[in-house]
Amino acid sequence: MILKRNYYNKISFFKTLWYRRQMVKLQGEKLFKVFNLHKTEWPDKLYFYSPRLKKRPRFVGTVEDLSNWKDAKMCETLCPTHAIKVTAEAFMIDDRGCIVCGLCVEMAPPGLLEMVSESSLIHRSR
Amino acid sequence: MFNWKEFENAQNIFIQVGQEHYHMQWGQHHVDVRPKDFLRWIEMLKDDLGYLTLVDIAGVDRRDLANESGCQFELVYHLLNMGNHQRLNLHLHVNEQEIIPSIVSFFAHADWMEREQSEMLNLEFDRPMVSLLLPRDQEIYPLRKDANIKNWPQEKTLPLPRLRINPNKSEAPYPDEAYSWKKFDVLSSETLGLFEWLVCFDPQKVVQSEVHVGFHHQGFEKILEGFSWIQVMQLVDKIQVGAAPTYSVAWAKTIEDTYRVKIPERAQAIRIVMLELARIAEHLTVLGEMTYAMKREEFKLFINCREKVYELFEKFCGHRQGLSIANVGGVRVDLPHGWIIEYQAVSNILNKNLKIIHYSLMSQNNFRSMLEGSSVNAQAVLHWGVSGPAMRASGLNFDLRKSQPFYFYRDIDFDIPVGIYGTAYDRYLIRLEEIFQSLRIITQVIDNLPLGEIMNPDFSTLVLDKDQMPATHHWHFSSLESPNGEAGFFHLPGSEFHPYRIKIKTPSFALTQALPHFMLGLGEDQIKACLASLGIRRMEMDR
Repeated sequence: MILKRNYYNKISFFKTLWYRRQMVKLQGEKLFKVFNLHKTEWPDKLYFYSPRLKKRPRFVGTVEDLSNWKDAKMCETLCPTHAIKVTAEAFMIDDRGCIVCGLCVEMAPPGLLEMVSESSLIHRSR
Repeated sequence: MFNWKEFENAQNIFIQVGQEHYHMQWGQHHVDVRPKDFLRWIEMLKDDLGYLTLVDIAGVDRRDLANESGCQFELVYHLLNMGNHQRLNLHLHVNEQEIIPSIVSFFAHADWMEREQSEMLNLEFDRPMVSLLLPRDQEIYPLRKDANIKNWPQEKTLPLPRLRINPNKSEAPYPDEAYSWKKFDVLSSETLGLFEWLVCFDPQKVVQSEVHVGFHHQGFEKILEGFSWIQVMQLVDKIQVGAAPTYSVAWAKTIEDTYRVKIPERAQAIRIVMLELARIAEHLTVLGEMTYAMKREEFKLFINCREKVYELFEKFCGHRQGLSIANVGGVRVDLPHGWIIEYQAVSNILNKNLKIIHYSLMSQNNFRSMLEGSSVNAQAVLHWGVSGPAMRASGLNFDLRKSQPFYFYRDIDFDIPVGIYGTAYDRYLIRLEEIFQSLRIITQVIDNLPLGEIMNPDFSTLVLDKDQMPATHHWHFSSLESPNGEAGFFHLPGSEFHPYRIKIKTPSFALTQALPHFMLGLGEDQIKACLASLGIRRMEMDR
């Protein structure tokens, strides 16, 4: 497929007017630029992060669950960034290292880990 | 598509030429050589058999593995024949302190590859070398298995290079005093935070330039050796965060190719959709960078379009950039309910808006002339081993989706845009056209979306049994078409699902090496836009 390099030279005059009108619409400006100062900031639209992104793995089980050493230790060995540490008393997740890949939640037996939406890391700044 | 006839033809030729050295495994040709026969083989392959491109070189210290040749090191030269699409692995077995013949006289872009391997493994080539990624005069060789990485020596800064007199001076004959070197830091806006760049201007145009890389080096390949396959899948996404599915799918594909794992049809279709969406997102960022470098307002509109693609990713897997979608034997998540309707809305918007943006850019007088500075012909592109849109811009019609189609690509109707002059303007047109083409691909796949499972039932659990997989220690290379060129992995499996060595093949490495050639004859205002049009990424450049 060879590209049309001069495609837009062949467009009719009336079509160009339509294109210009569409461009003005896209930029969100008025037709006469003279009276319109640039006030828009990037991004134009406020972006809301989805609740799914806010979720992070949290330990939901009890200390007795940790006695099943194999399953708990599995999460520690699987974590690609070494963000999980398991001892006999506690199950620690380092949020700075977590990349939310979800491997630990998939691998752990039900009731041990869950994706929880409370998070102190992501919030609206403006 | 695997063409059995052509494979057999090539096999017959190799058996006739050197029967002892040749063996076939997993649908690829392998040839084992020692240094004394090496140059003879390279000369024959390039001149007589048509293996014109060197894809990559991977070196390994295989002291822990059983080895028939009895040598400690192994270098794999992966060659590609663009005529019949055959790939050849040329294994060079070397002992320590044995001198390796360099192949720079055959393939010019082997320069950086050889430098990289020699400094990582302490190998000796028969030409003088300066270290590329690591600091100069260091005595730690990280990819050796006995490497002890603790303290890195500090590097001394070098003085500016002397001016070489260039016979290809542009236009007016300037006196030698008029030439001036400028130095762009890693932090300067001209280099986009990628490398240190020394440029020589005759007062108007670029005459010569040098690139220094390695400032971001973090030893990614070394890090990956400590992880299992599944963990590697999560980390590999970060090589190109803007188009994350490409590398995770490529890594899943290497393992599936090596062990002949079949994946269900629905998973294949979803992978195609995600790869193409990633291509769209990456092209839109590159176009946005280009227009931003030229100080146009349109860059906002490109980024807004990309944002819509990211929203699609987010609805699919929860991450904005589509991280961690692939898995060995399928994909991790199925398409959610109502996703297809969302996609149709987005594709309509992209189809309409991009044409309008393109029109408004073309109607500006300065735009096209800013991009048309230096042209690169097809011969030079082959000479530097460049792939992807930068290669297609100079008229070479080569795309892995057409030449070696994986998954459903052979059943889909789509075109490959090809440029003429190899300028930045050609690259701009190609990237824009590829967006429309990949929208066309996705609509075709979604119209015929197969039903069924998304994972191979044998691989439904993430942790595998040891008896399930045969223990093999054999190289395999597989690749796919990423937005900026050919991307793939060399994989040498170790024990218990841990890779012994991974070598990442990235398009940006060859592009950075060829960069001085792409920049010849450009003015000072044009540099930034031309650099952005190549689509060089930071993590791809530094291993």
